[in-house]
Amino acid sequence: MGNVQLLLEGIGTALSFQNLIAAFAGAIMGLIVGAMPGIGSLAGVALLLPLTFKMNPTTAIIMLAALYYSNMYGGSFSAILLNIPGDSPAIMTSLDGYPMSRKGEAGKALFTASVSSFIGGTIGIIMLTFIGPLAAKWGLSFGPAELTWLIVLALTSIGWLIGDKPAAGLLATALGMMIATVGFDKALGQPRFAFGNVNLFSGVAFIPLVIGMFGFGQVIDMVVNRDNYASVSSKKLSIKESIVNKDEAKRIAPVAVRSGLLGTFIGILPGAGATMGAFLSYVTEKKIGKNKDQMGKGAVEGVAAAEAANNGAAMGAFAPLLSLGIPGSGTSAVLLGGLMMWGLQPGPLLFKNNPDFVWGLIGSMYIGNIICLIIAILSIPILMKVVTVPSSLMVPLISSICIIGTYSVNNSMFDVYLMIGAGVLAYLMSLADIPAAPLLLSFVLTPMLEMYIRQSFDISGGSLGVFIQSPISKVLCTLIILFSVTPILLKIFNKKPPVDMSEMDA
Amino acid sequence: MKKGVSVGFILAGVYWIVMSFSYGLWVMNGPGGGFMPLIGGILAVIFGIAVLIEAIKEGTSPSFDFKVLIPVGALLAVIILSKLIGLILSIAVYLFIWLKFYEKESTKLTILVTILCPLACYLIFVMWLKAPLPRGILGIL
Repeated sequence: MGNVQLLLEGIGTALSFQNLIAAFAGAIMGLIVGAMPGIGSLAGVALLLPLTFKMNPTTAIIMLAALYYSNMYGGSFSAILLNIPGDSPAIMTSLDGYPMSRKGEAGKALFTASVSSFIGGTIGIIMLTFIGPLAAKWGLSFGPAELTWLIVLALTSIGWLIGDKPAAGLLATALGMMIATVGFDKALGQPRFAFGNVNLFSGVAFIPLVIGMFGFGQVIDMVVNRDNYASVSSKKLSIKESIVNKDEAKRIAPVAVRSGLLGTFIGILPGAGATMGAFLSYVTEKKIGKNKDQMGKGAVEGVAAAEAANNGAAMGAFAPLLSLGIPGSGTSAVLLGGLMMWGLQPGPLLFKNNPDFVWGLIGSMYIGNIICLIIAILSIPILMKVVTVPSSLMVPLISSICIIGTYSVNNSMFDVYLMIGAGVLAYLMSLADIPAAPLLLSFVLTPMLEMYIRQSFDISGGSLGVFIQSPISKVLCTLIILFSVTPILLKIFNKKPPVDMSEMDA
Repeated sequence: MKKGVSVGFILAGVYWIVMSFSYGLWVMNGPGGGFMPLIGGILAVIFGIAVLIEAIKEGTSPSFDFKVLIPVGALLAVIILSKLIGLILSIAVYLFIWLKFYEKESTKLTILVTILCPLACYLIFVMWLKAPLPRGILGIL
């Protein structure tokens, strides 16, 4: 098969010394960033993005992708040890992970998390290997009208995801759209919302916005809500007592496989990310699992379900990103920004025009996932040190990286002011419980949406019919109506939604 | 503060709607430059009002904490200082003052971080990435 051949070549690319080092560095940084409470993959990838501009695109994305998925391993550490999820996909991990560590089984919980992450991630990569090229082939039949619907679908499912408070998520989506319209419009070439500032003619730059909202926003949160970041006394863990026994392994395996599949599938959907994947897998396991009564009280199944699913979803999210150019989550939106800055055009043609890049990345994931597993397990004894890095050190260090990283991209001090402003915006939004990730996603998607709508009308000469001509458009349109109407109908009939999503933030 | 924030976003939405008309909503058989701002503005107003209603129902929400001004002010100070002594040295000064006087860390740790972090930044950004960081009018680094 052609794909297997390409995959083997990709693995060859990934095994080059330079790319191995990149995957290794990304994996270690991802683990550390993930393990530190509060800093998620989004901030990690955003802060590192400026460092990758001098690398070749393949090496750069191998490093950032490794950081992204190893972050899913790392996120579980502080969830299990401190009951503080390192980032939102790990929220579900803490439900069983923390009770386990209170029972004195912290090591086992960490081991389960790492192994399940590996299983879920591997399932995700295998599915990506086969679905990615198929989706790209399928994507070639997408015209501007179909792409318009696909983006609208991604945007509406954000609101659908936020659960019982969809208004906040949709408000964030609207804000992202507004910020994205600053700068020259492509139809007439006139500056919009620039307030006479030349720096804004080309629009709000991506890097300052991301670093500001997720890096500096984090700094502000650490300074304001200092108590949430209190450190705890450390205790020693050893690998020996962490390894699960035969009986536990038998309990973990089916759960991890099931959740890995479900998580990957959710990750592939545009707009649905790792948090959603972990959430649904956990709920499913609680409904149908063999050991459902113990879930929430420190069952290995709970940890396995959440971790396998969020790693599967992290891998799955690469499918729409690479094959259609549509990011499925906040972090993949940042990766999309990176791809464009390295001069690559994500979309159906990426597989055709840059096969060495795509397959190098996919190949590196197989290797990176193994690297992550090994590092994660070996680091169990020293984890306590990482999760207890005091916020007193993190605040000035992250601030410094925010300034230099932002400045160095365009050598512009205006970008640094913009970054600071974005951090303040993120803080204001947090006061009103408005999640920041949908803003970022719609900021990235809106310019594409504007372009595709314009192209659709150019083709049709102004007729609306172009949007419902093809079968693909009809299917996407039906899905959008279904997604947006279902929550409203459920409310009207006063039935509880199938899952309670009140605890989700992005 | 939730009410205040949502009102602010509603006003921003209104501004976007008003301005969108001047950018042209429909030109040459297709959406003009005002089309997307109009949609974004309308959505912001609708969901801003929804969030505002939520906030009124809930009653209390976290209030604005003026501690926000500390990190913001610190970064602005770094930018201003960078015009004089350059960005790398300004960051070193910031790290020292922040760790020693705000966080009250030990002198040993403070000096260690003050030296290592700017050094790493210098090696990565100046030596490796060749980014022309501001050197300030004194032009030291």
